[in-house]
Amino acid sequence: MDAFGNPDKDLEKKILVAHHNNDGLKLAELYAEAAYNTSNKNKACFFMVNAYTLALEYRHPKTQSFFQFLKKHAREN
Amino acid sequence: MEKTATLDKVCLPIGEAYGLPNEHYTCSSVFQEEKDILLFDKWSGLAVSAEIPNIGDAVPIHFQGTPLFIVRTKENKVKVFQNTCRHRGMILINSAKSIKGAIRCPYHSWCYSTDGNLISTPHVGGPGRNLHEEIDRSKLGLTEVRSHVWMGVIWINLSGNAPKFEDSMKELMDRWADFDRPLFHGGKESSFTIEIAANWKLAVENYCESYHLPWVHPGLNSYSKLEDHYHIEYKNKFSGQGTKVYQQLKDKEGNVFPDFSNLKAKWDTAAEYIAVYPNVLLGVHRDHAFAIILIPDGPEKTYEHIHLFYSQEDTPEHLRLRNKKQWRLVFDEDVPVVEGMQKGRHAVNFDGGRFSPVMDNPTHCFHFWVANEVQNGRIRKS
Repeated sequence: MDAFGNPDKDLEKKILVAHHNNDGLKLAELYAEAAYNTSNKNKACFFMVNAYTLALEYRHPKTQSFFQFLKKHAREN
Repeated sequence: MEKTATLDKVCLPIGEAYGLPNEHYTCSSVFQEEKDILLFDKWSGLAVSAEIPNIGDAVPIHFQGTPLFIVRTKENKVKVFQNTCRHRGMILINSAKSIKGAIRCPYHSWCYSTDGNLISTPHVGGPGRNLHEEIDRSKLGLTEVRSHVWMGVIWINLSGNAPKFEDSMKELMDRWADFDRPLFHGGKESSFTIEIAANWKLAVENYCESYHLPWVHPGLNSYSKLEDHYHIEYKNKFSGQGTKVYQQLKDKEGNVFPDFSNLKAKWDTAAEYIAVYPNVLLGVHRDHAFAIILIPDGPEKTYEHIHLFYSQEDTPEHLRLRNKKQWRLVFDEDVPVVEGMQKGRHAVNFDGGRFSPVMDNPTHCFHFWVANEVQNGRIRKS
């Protein structure tokens, strides 16, 4: 994660590859990783929204935990 | 006004009546009018539930230009929705798929459950914010289309104005109560589609009468003669024909399809073929049934989607293949006459034609229904 809360280049690359491969489950995990890796609350919620959305679509086992993350920050209810 | 006057002649007693005027088979504006009055306002056939056998299966279908999708929900119910996101109207499902979790819009990723509820609105309140006080998800579920599954067919009422399905179909459901049970689709090899260059109503008209059988289906003459057939008519609902001499398909060893259980004795030798207005043609026999869903594609083109059903999930494949071949032959034999009638509708002086007062009753019954509904629709509109 860089100083601005953006995911590191390696993670960014993995996200792009997963998008390219339409690998929704992997994408959910990578976005969650990006969320957990930043201390910037807004950035974290941005990534977690993406993680949660894809988790919903693909029934990721951590869907509820992503939801709780957003709920804790008043971004979901 | 002129159109309404012409239709009056259709509604006369059969001995005096004329068939529907040419414009009901060739004219785009009448086609559009009938689409609203006869297809959208009634219970129309859309597809078969066998197309979505598993939970989460979803298939997009256009019905008369309206994008829809059928889905088997997590609760194992068949539902039909308009295939558009409540956000920007984006098409949600582009091809047949198995939905694992939510239906995610490919544009801005609004997510819906398989029963149509809007469950997530990513970034709707700004980046990282799934909420906004003015976006009430409970009011933004998918637009559901009224639907009902009967005889393996998914029926829809797009306008939402028709009476309950069970009320609309009561008489036929009573008549065929013996077949109100699970029907097992024969699988991929038990479905086929025939494209015909004709108005959809001509397919209905040809199906519901037995008058043409000796000439168009000579193969039937040896065991199912014209005199073995009877008319079936229920005004403003359905019409068709029955035979008293149905013979089961047998292989060399004498194997047949297993019968539907506990049928009345009548069905030992009877079979019935009924056109359920507007666009579903059904056939029932002691050992199998079929449904033909007519999907109009403009005034002069129709797709006939044919599906064969059996009493059990596992029936002999060689018999299923023979049965499909046999029915395919029969339905293919009908194509030239249906298309020939369509061509005849371009004769400017054709007056709709006269009916045989004895043989054409089911056809007249259908014409009467069309004319009556269209006239009433025009009155409502004016």
